Amino acid sequence: METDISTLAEAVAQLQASAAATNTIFAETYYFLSIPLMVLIHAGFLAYEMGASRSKNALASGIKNILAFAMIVPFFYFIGWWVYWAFPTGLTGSEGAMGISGFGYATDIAAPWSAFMGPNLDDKSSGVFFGAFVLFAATTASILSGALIERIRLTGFVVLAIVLGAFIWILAAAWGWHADGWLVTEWGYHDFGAAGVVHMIAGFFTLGVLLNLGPRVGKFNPDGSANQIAGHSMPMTLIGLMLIIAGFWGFLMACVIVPGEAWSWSTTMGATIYGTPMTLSGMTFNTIMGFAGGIIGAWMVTRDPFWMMSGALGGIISCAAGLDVWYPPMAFAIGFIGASAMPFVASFLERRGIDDAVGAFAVHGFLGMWGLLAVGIAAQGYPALAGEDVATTSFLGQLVGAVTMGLLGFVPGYVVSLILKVTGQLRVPPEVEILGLDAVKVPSRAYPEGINASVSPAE
Amino acid sequence: MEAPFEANTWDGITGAIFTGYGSVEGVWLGLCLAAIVAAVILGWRHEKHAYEAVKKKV
Repeated sequence: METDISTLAEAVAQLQASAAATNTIFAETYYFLSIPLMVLIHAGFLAYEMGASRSKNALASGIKNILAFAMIVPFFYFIGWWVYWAFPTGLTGSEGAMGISGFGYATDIAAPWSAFMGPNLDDKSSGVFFGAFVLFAATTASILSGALIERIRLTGFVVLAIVLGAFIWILAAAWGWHADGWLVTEWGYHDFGAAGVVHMIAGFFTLGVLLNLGPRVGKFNPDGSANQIAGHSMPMTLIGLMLIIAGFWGFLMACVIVPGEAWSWSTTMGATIYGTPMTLSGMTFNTIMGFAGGIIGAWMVTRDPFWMMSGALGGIISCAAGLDVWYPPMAFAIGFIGASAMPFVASFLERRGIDDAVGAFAVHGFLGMWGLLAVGIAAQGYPALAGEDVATTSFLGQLVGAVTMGLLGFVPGYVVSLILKVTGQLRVPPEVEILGLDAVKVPSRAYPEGINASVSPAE
Repeated sequence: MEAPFEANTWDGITGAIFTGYGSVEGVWLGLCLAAIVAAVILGWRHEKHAYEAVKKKV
């Protein structure tokens, strides 16, 4: 009898070890696979930006986009990952209630010389989480990149991309996308799919830069009216937008904390980054409904395929903050309303002499804000964190979050671009802009046969 | 710049295993940063010269 029990206990222990190993490799693989899916976002932004550029600038736009991605990676390793863990409670670097923040904790796990910042046989999560966050960071820079095409200096842009991707957005994430984040613990701020901490931050940062950068040559007439500067390949732009949407599934996938690991919130249940329960299944309902609502809303007001595809993106962004809790028809309506309003926001900016070449502020800045406020309007009263007696979601909390995100994005974007402008590092000379950036500084040609690049300013 | 442990077997090895762990991280971090700064400076010069060449032609 004793021998039987001993054998049984040994078999159970082996099974438990095997199940734990399977769960760990599943968790590691889950985030690992979110990364190539998110790379699709960047494939999409690359095609989108190049297509939205005139043929004379197509490759320069591509270089800018590719380089931003690459530059953010090392700076996020040097400092960005540390910032995320160091500043959730504010700028003091103190430890929060969950015990996963503050200078000491950040230095232990995320300083670039930490034992966890490279191959470590006891750590099967830091690298894949870092990778997913780097892809979020690169997304912010790509949002910025599209709006500035055809006239920004490459090195000036690189500085802006590093500031946004390795410092600003991740500070916002520490405050509003972390279980110790002060916006969450004190205000009940809820932003499951990063509508505020990625999209709104990047959109408002972009707006600050656009004010200093100025419009492309030929965009506006002396009387202030605007000219349409069409990109050289609308099909490339549309396919790019669809790739971004495909990549969004990886983005949202990486917003989920899987169960069953030492660092998980639960042994059995998926959770948001705040520790609140959610399911991939529920998120899928809402993502698809928001996507459809966005396309239909944008089609209704524009009939333009560019805005329809931007509407698809905008529909998801509109729902992103509450993708874990929306009733799916509500997600459709929120996406529909947001995407219907989006083209008018773009026109509003244009009438004020702001040349946002791809509508980045309207899609990401405005709809990120709408997404946050939508949670405050229609998803009040949800506990914002795991545990007892936690803050709940409210309109005021979402409003405080939206104001914080707006300022945290806009002010650094405006100030850093102003410094670059004053030092002559922001914009290419007008004669270069008219001739085309590819001919001036790119040692290869996008279309060596068949297409002649235009040199007239407004074509 | 070598394995962070002395052993002839992987048995019993745990924790960080990356090259130089606990000794020369700063050197490689500095080298990374220097490479980026050098690339950006050269890129900035290339842009500057390219723009000046256009201005001369116009």
